[in-house]
Amino acid sequence: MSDFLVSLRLAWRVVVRNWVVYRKDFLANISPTLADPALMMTALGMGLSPYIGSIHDLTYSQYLAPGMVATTVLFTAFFECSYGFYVRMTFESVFKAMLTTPIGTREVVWGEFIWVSIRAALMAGGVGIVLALLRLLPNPWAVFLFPLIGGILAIPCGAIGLLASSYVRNINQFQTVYSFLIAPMYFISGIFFPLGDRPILKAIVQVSPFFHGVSLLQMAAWNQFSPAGIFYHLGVMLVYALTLGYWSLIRIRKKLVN
Amino acid sequence: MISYSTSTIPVDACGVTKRFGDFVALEGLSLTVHSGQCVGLLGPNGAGKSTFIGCLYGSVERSGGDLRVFGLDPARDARRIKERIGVVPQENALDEELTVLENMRLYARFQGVTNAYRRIEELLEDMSLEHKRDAQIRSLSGGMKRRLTFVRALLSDPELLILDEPTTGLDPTVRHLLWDKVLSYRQAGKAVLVTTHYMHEAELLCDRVIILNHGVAVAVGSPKELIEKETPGFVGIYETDQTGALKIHLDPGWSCFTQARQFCVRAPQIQHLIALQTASGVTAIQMRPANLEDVYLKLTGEELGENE
Repeated sequence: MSDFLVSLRLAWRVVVRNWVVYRKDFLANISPTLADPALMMTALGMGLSPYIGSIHDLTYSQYLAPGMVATTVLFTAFFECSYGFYVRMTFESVFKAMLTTPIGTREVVWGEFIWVSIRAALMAGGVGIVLALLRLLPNPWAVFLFPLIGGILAIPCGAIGLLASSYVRNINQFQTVYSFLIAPMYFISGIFFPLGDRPILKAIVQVSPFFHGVSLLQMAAWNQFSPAGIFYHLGVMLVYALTLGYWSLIRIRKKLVN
Repeated sequence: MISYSTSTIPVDACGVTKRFGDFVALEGLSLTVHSGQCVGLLGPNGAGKSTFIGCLYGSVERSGGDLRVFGLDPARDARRIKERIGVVPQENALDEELTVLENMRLYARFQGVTNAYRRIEELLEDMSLEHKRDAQIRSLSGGMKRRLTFVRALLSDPELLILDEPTTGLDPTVRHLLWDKVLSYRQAGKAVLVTTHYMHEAELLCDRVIILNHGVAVAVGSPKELIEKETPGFVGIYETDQTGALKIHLDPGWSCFTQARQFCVRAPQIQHLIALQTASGVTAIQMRPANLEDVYLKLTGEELGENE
């Protein structure tokens, strides 16, 4: 068997480990990723919709809907790979034992990515179904695209988490990463308001991998596909997934191997 | 260079060096561990023991020297090496939320163990943990956790067992149980590499020990050889306030030193100590053959350096 497949098989065992631990506290683990979008839809969607006219011929709730999928993906991937990974690495010393088995640092990192990617895909699908049932998706078939887009978007979001894990000196420093990187990326991403008529803002957000994921989710939800748009946003997201993913592998290896 | 025929030697290290920036953690360490042998790495905290162990399975990248584990270089073939070893790390690193059985199943999966269920049951029974199979790790005592860490290391029936301070902090009963397991494992023809701070443990388990200090091997040999060479004879231990009464009767060839507020005299023969008792009228607290701890303290115990 090729080296790649062996690594993949070992990475899958890391995924299984995470799942076994995750399901122990299933409700506590899944709550925030479901509650956040639900509360946001209620407060902003239901609450503000009546006061806001239509945006791109959509009600504000419909405008907001794909962003909720993006929200659950971002927070699932980032928090798992930042706080979650850091705790496993530092406080629980999980890898000290794991790395004495045939699993190496590459498999640990791949395992994390597969794990958050699957979780994000499932959450994206779940949130998508709820949105479709609430009739907030002009294109209900988008429900089938959400897991795909969410699964890819989870990689750069998770990679940012892993990179943060490799740079922070203690667990409190994640708050800085959140405040100065994740929060701006989240609030200025086109989820809450259209960026179209703000050229400077629009230029800046192009560097954010999250923005491109949001754009793809919106295209799917609103049925506003353009081949050039798909090509561009998907391309940038994939480039980010590969480069940030590779960078985080190098960084985590430095942390785990002396 | 290491020749091809040595490829079945579990551990073959030649001049292994590890630097962290300017700090030299390990300097030219050479050692071999053959099948059926137990080799001990002794030395103060920070002497480089765990660093060397990390080098064996690729969790530490050595800076220099030649290192082969089953003929494979850990820098390139860590995975294939790790398929053949079992490690008891310093920290147990068990998944606290999971049960005993869940933990072991996961690790059996990591190791690719076939027929894992039977193997786990066997080993749990062997370590007297079978009644705890559904208990959460956090509910286990320190000794149970350590025994479970041994179970985990033995799941794949490894050819080389690496123990990093296996009995630190354990009560004597557990310690004896674990020693018994290690000895029978060695007897079964497997190789064992152990680090420890307990000299009694090293004497009991090891065919050969290497004493490290500041990353350098300061003594190599069987415990018996080292005692013969470094601190031969018998040690009498006395109350410190008897020092004056004893000193006038001491032979200049004997060594004397103070340890834990007790005055100690080491003489070549037990008869010398008995004669000393008669001549000085001072009764010893204890008279015993010199042991590995005497060697260790002589070679490393002079100063508590920066590595403490």
